[in-house]
Amino acid sequence: MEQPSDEALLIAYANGDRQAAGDLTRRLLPRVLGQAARMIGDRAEAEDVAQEAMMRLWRIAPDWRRGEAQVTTWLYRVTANLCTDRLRKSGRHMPLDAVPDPPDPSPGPVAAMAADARAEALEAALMELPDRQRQAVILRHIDGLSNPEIARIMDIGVEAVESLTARGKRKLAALLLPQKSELGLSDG
Amino acid sequence: MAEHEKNQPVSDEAGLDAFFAAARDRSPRPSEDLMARVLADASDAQPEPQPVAAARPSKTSWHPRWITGIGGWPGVAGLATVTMAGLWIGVALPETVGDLAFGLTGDGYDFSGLSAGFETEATDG
Repeated sequence: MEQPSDEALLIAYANGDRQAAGDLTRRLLPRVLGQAARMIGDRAEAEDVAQEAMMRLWRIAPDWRRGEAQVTTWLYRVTANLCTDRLRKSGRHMPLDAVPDPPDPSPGPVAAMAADARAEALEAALMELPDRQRQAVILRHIDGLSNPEIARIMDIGVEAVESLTARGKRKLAALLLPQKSELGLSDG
Repeated sequence: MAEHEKNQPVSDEAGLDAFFAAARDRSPRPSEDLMARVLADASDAQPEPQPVAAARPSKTSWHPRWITGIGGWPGVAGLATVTMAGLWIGVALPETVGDLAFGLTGDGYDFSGLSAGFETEATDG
Protein backbone atom coordinates (compact mmCIF):
# COMPACT_ATOMS: atom_id res chain seq x y z
CA MET A 1 0.00 0.00 0.00
CA GLU A 2 1.28 3.45 -0.85
CA GLN A 3 2.55 5.40 2.11
CA PRO A 4 0.88 8.74 2.83
CA SER A 5 3.01 11.74 1.98
CA ASP A 6 4.69 13.80 4.68
CA GLU A 7 2.24 16.57 3.93
CA ALA A 8 -0.78 14.27 4.27
CA LEU A 9 0.51 13.10 7.63
CA LEU A 10 1.13 16.66 8.78
CA ILE A 11 -2.41 17.68 7.86
CA ALA A 12 -3.78 14.58 9.60
CA TYR A 13 -1.79 15.55 12.68
CA ALA A 14 -3.22 19.07 12.57
CA ASN A 15 -6.70 17.53 12.41
CA GLY A 16 -6.10 15.61 15.60
CA ASP A 17 -4.83 12.26 14.25
CA ARG A 18 -2.55 11.01 17.02
CA GLN A 19 -1.05 8.21 14.94
CA ALA A 20 0.24 10.74 12.41
CA ALA A 21 2.65 12.29 14.92
CA GLY A 22 4.34 8.94 15.49
CA ASP A 23 4.58 8.20 11.77
CA LEU A 24 6.07 11.62 11.03
CA THR A 25 8.54 11.35 13.88
CA ARG A 26 9.81 7.95 12.79
CA ARG A 27 10.14 9.20 9.23
CA LEU A 28 11.68 12.64 9.77
CA LEU A 29 13.53 12.65 13.08
CA PRO A 30 16.48 10.50 11.89
CA ARG A 31 17.10 12.89 8.99
CA VAL A 32 16.87 15.95 11.20
CA LEU A 33 19.15 14.44 13.80
CA GLY A 34 21.68 13.37 11.18
CA GLN A 35 21.79 16.81 9.64
CA ALA A 36 22.14 18.50 13.03
CA ALA A 37 24.81 16.10 14.24
CA ARG A 38 26.93 16.67 11.13
CA MET A 39 26.45 20.40 11.21
CA ILE A 40 27.21 20.84 14.90
CA GLY A 41 29.49 17.90 15.60
CA ASP A 42 27.99 17.30 19.04
CA ARG A 43 25.40 14.58 19.65
CA ALA A 44 23.72 16.11 22.70
CA GLU A 45 23.35 19.51 21.08
CA ALA A 46 22.19 17.88 17.87
CA GLU A 47 19.40 16.15 19.82
CA ASP A 48 18.29 19.48 21.25
CA VAL A 49 18.26 21.00 17.78
CA ALA A 50 16.35 18.06 16.36
CA GLN A 51 13.74 18.30 19.12
CA GLU A 52 13.37 22.04 18.54
CA ALA A 53 13.05 21.59 14.77
CA MET A 54 10.34 18.98 15.24
CA MET A 55 8.59 21.24 17.74
CA ARG A 56 8.45 23.95 15.11
CA LEU A 57 6.94 21.44 12.70
CA TRP A 58 4.19 20.61 15.18
CA ARG A 59 3.47 24.28 15.71
CA ILE A 60 3.29 25.13 12.02
CA ALA A 61 1.01 22.18 11.26
CA PRO A 62 -2.36 23.95 11.73
CA ASP A 63 -1.22 26.77 9.41
CA TRP A 64 0.55 24.57 6.86
CA ARG A 65 -0.31 25.72 3.34
CA ARG A 66 -0.88 22.69 1.21
CA GLY A 67 1.34 22.34 -1.84
CA GLU A 68 3.48 25.37 -1.10
CA ALA A 69 6.62 23.57 0.05
CA GLN A 70 7.84 20.08 0.77
CA VAL A 71 7.78 19.21 4.45
CA THR A 72 11.34 17.85 4.28
CA THR A 73 12.63 20.98 2.57
CA TRP A 74 10.99 23.15 5.20
CA LEU A 75 12.39 20.98 8.00
CA TYR A 76 15.94 20.87 6.60
CA ARG A 77 15.83 24.64 6.38
CA VAL A 78 14.64 25.08 9.96
CA THR A 79 17.30 22.64 11.16
CA ALA A 80 20.03 24.40 9.22
CA ASN A 81 19.04 27.75 10.68
CA LEU A 82 18.95 26.36 14.21
CA CYS A 83 22.42 24.83 13.73
CA THR A 84 23.81 28.06 12.32
CA ASP A 85 22.44 30.00 15.28
CA ARG A 86 24.02 27.58 17.74
CA LEU A 87 27.38 27.64 16.02
CA ARG A 88 27.33 31.40 15.80
CA LYS A 89 26.48 31.84 19.47
CA SER A 90 29.03 29.33 20.69
CA GLY A 91 31.80 30.39 18.33
CA ARG A 92 32.98 26.79 18.42
CA HIS A 93 35.21 25.32 15.80
CA MET A 94 36.45 21.80 15.87
CA PRO A 95 40.17 21.56 14.98
CA LEU A 96 41.27 18.95 12.48
CA ASP A 97 43.44 17.27 15.07
CA ALA A 98 40.17 15.96 16.45
CA VAL A 99 40.23 13.52 13.56
CA PRO A 100 40.48 10.10 15.19
CA ASP A 101 43.52 7.97 14.93
CA PRO A 102 43.45 5.56 12.02
CA PRO A 103 42.41 2.05 12.94
CA ASP A 104 44.89 -0.56 13.89
CA PRO A 105 45.40 -2.61 10.73
CA SER A 106 45.45 -5.86 12.66
CA PRO A 107 43.07 -8.67 11.62
CA GLY A 108 39.48 -8.51 12.85
CA PRO A 109 36.57 -6.31 11.87
CA VAL A 110 38.99 -4.07 10.07
CA ALA A 111 36.60 -3.07 7.36
CA ALA A 112 33.97 -1.89 9.80
CA MET A 113 36.54 -0.06 11.85
CA ALA A 114 37.93 1.56 8.75
CA ALA A 115 34.47 2.67 7.75
CA ASP A 116 33.88 4.12 11.19
CA ALA A 117 37.20 5.89 11.04
CA ARG A 118 36.38 7.31 7.62
CA ALA A 119 33.03 8.58 8.84
CA GLU A 120 34.60 10.18 11.87
CA ALA A 121 37.38 11.66 9.78
CA LEU A 122 34.81 13.13 7.42
CA GLU A 123 32.77 14.58 10.27
CA ALA A 124 35.86 16.22 11.69
CA ALA A 125 36.91 17.53 8.29
CA LEU A 126 33.41 18.89 7.66
CA MET A 127 33.78 21.00 10.77
CA GLU A 128 36.75 22.67 9.11
CA LEU A 129 34.54 24.05 6.36
CA PRO A 130 32.68 27.34 6.56
CA ASP A 131 29.10 26.77 7.68
CA ARG A 132 27.52 27.31 4.26
CA GLN A 133 29.95 24.99 2.49
CA ARG A 134 29.47 22.35 5.15
CA GLN A 135 25.71 22.60 4.91
CA ALA A 136 25.71 22.32 1.12
CA VAL A 137 28.10 19.35 1.10
CA ILE A 138 26.10 17.47 3.76
CA LEU A 139 22.79 18.01 1.99
CA ARG A 140 24.21 17.08 -1.42
CA HIS A 141 26.57 14.21 -0.71
CA ILE A 142 25.28 12.63 2.49
CA ASP A 143 21.55 13.37 2.49
CA GLY A 144 21.48 13.02 -1.28
CA LEU A 145 19.31 16.03 -2.07
CA SER A 146 19.22 17.65 -5.48
CA ASN A 147 20.85 21.01 -6.11
CA PRO A 148 17.49 22.77 -6.70
CA GLU A 149 16.18 21.40 -3.41
CA ILE A 150 19.31 22.54 -1.59
CA ALA A 151 18.92 25.94 -3.22
CA ARG A 152 15.41 26.21 -1.75
CA ILE A 153 16.61 25.09 1.68
CA MET A 154 19.50 27.55 1.72
CA ASP A 155 17.57 30.28 -0.06
CA ILE A 156 20.24 30.73 -2.73
CA GLY A 157 20.56 29.97 -6.43
CA VAL A 158 21.45 26.61 -7.89
CA GLU A 159 24.76 27.98 -9.18
CA ALA A 160 25.65 29.14 -5.69
CA VAL A 161 24.94 25.63 -4.42
CA GLU A 162 27.22 24.15 -7.06
CA SER A 163 29.94 26.61 -6.13
CA LEU A 164 29.62 25.87 -2.41
CA THR A 165 29.71 22.11 -2.87
CA ALA A 166 32.65 22.32 -5.29
CA ARG A 167 34.71 24.44 -2.91
CA GLY A 168 33.71 22.29 0.03
CA LYS A 169 34.69 19.08 -1.69
CA ARG A 170 37.97 20.55 -2.81
CA LYS A 171 38.87 21.40 0.76
CA LEU A 172 37.68 18.01 2.04
CA ALA A 173 39.82 16.30 -0.55
CA ALA A 174 42.81 18.30 0.58
CA LEU A 175 42.16 17.34 4.19
CA LEU A 176 41.18 13.70 3.81
CA LEU A 177 42.79 12.17 0.77
CA PRO A 178 46.31 12.30 2.14
CA GLN A 179 45.03 9.97 4.89
CA LYS A 180 43.42 7.52 2.50
CA SER A 181 45.81 4.67 3.02
CA GLU A 182 45.74 5.16 6.78
CA LEU A 183 41.94 5.02 6.70
CA GLY A 184 41.82 1.70 4.94
CA LEU A 185 41.51 2.99 1.38
CA SER A 186 43.84 2.16 -1.44
CA ASP A 187 45.35 4.98 -3.45
CA GLY A 188 44.22 3.44 -6.69
CA MET B 1 41.59 29.63 -0.49
CA ALA B 2 45.01 28.05 -0.20
CA GLU B 3 46.87 27.47 -3.43
CA HIS B 4 47.14 23.72 -2.90
CA GLU B 5 43.34 23.50 -2.57
CA LYS B 6 42.81 25.33 -5.86
CA ASN B 7 45.17 22.94 -7.57
CA GLN B 8 43.53 19.82 -6.20
CA PRO B 9 42.69 17.64 -9.19
CA VAL B 10 38.97 17.05 -9.62
CA SER B 11 39.59 13.32 -10.00
CA ASP B 12 40.88 13.25 -6.43
CA GLU B 13 37.49 14.47 -5.22
CA ALA B 14 36.00 11.21 -6.42
CA GLY B 15 38.00 9.58 -3.66
CA LEU B 16 35.65 11.27 -1.22
CA ASP B 17 32.81 8.94 -2.16
CA ALA B 18 34.04 6.31 0.30
CA PHE B 19 33.96 8.89 3.07
CA PHE B 20 30.45 10.03 2.18
CA ALA B 21 29.23 6.44 1.99
CA ALA B 22 30.72 5.71 5.42
CA ALA B 23 29.00 8.77 6.83
CA ARG B 24 25.65 7.69 5.37
CA ASP B 25 26.00 4.21 6.87
CA ARG B 26 26.86 5.70 10.21
CA SER B 27 23.96 8.14 10.43
CA PRO B 28 22.96 8.68 14.05
CA ARG B 29 19.75 7.00 15.13
CA PRO B 30 17.42 8.81 17.50
CA SER B 31 17.55 7.43 21.02
CA GLU B 32 14.38 6.23 22.70
CA ASP B 33 14.62 9.20 25.02
CA LEU B 34 14.70 11.65 22.10
CA MET B 35 11.79 9.87 20.41
CA ALA B 36 9.79 10.12 23.64
CA ARG B 37 10.55 13.82 24.03
CA VAL B 38 9.55 14.60 20.46
CA LEU B 39 6.32 12.62 20.75
CA ALA B 40 5.49 14.35 24.02
CA ASP B 41 5.98 17.71 22.31
CA ALA B 42 3.77 16.55 19.47
CA SER B 43 1.05 15.55 21.89
CA ASP B 44 1.23 18.87 23.75
CA ALA B 45 1.14 20.94 20.57
CA GLN B 46 -1.52 18.93 18.75
CA PRO B 47 -4.77 20.76 18.15
CA GLU B 48 -7.85 19.12 19.58
CA PRO B 49 -9.77 17.03 17.08
CA GLN B 50 -12.41 19.12 15.37
CA PRO B 51 -15.85 18.19 16.76
CA VAL B 52 -18.36 17.06 14.20
CA ALA B 53 -20.97 19.81 13.78
CA ALA B 54 -24.30 18.95 15.49
CA ALA B 55 -27.07 18.11 13.09
CA ARG B 56 -29.00 21.26 12.44
CA PRO B 57 -32.76 21.28 11.87
CA SER B 58 -33.75 21.44 8.27
CA LYS B 59 -33.78 24.97 6.96
CA THR B 60 -37.08 24.31 5.24
CA SER B 61 -38.92 22.93 8.27
CA TRP B 62 -40.65 26.24 9.07
CA HIS B 63 -42.16 26.44 5.59
CA PRO B 64 -45.84 25.73 5.42
CA ARG B 65 -46.16 22.45 3.63
CA TRP B 66 -48.22 23.99 0.84
CA ILE B 67 -45.17 26.03 -0.21
CA THR B 68 -43.21 22.86 -0.60
CA GLY B 69 -46.22 21.32 -2.34
CA ILE B 70 -46.26 23.93 -5.11
CA GLY B 71 -42.51 23.70 -5.69
CA GLY B 72 -41.10 26.03 -3.04
CA TRP B 73 -40.43 29.73 -3.48
CA PRO B 74 -40.37 29.60 -7.30
CA GLY B 75 -43.89 28.20 -7.15
CA VAL B 76 -44.96 30.98 -4.78
CA ALA B 77 -43.51 33.58 -7.14
CA GLY B 78 -45.37 32.11 -10.10
CA LEU B 79 -48.63 32.01 -8.14
CA ALA B 80 -48.21 35.64 -7.09
CA THR B 81 -47.57 36.69 -10.69
CA VAL B 82 -50.71 34.96 -11.90
CA THR B 83 -52.76 36.53 -9.09
CA MET B 84 -51.51 40.02 -9.89
CA ALA B 85 -52.15 39.51 -13.58
CA GLY B 86 -55.74 38.47 -12.82
CA LEU B 87 -56.28 41.47 -10.60
CA TRP B 88 -54.89 43.79 -13.27
CA ILE B 89 -57.13 42.32 -15.93
CA GLY B 90 -60.14 42.75 -13.69
CA VAL B 91 -59.48 46.36 -12.67
CA ALA B 92 -57.78 48.00 -15.62
CA LEU B 93 -59.49 46.39 -18.65
CA PRO B 94 -63.21 46.08 -17.85
CA GLU B 95 -64.38 46.88 -21.45
CA THR B 96 -62.16 44.30 -22.96
CA VAL B 97 -63.38 41.89 -20.37
CA GLY B 98 -66.93 42.81 -21.34
CA ASP B 99 -66.22 42.17 -25.03
CA LEU B 100 -64.73 38.86 -24.13
CA ALA B 101 -67.67 38.11 -21.88
CA PHE B 102 -70.41 38.62 -24.46
CA GLY B 103 -68.39 36.67 -26.86
CA LEU B 104 -68.68 33.79 -24.50
CA THR B 105 -72.30 34.31 -23.34
CA GLY B 106 -73.84 35.26 -26.70
CA ASP B 107 -75.31 38.61 -25.55
CA GLY B 108 -75.79 41.12 -28.41
CA TYR B 109 -76.42 38.66 -31.19
CA ASP B 110 -79.69 38.75 -33.08
CA PHE B 111 -81.17 35.33 -33.05
CA SER B 112 -84.51 36.44 -34.58
CA GLY B 113 -83.89 35.07 -38.05
CA LEU B 114 -82.69 31.87 -36.66
CA SER B 115 -85.67 31.75 -34.36
CA ALA B 116 -88.14 32.13 -37.23
CA GLY B 117 -86.60 29.38 -39.16
CA PHE B 118 -86.49 27.27 -36.06
CA GLU B 119 -90.22 27.90 -35.48
CA THR B 120 -91.00 26.97 -39.12
CA GLU B 121 -89.14 23.77 -38.75
CA ALA B 122 -90.88 23.10 -35.48
CA THR B 123 -94.30 23.81 -36.96
CA ASP B 124 -93.64 21.59 -39.94
CA GLY B 125 -92.43 18.89 -37.67
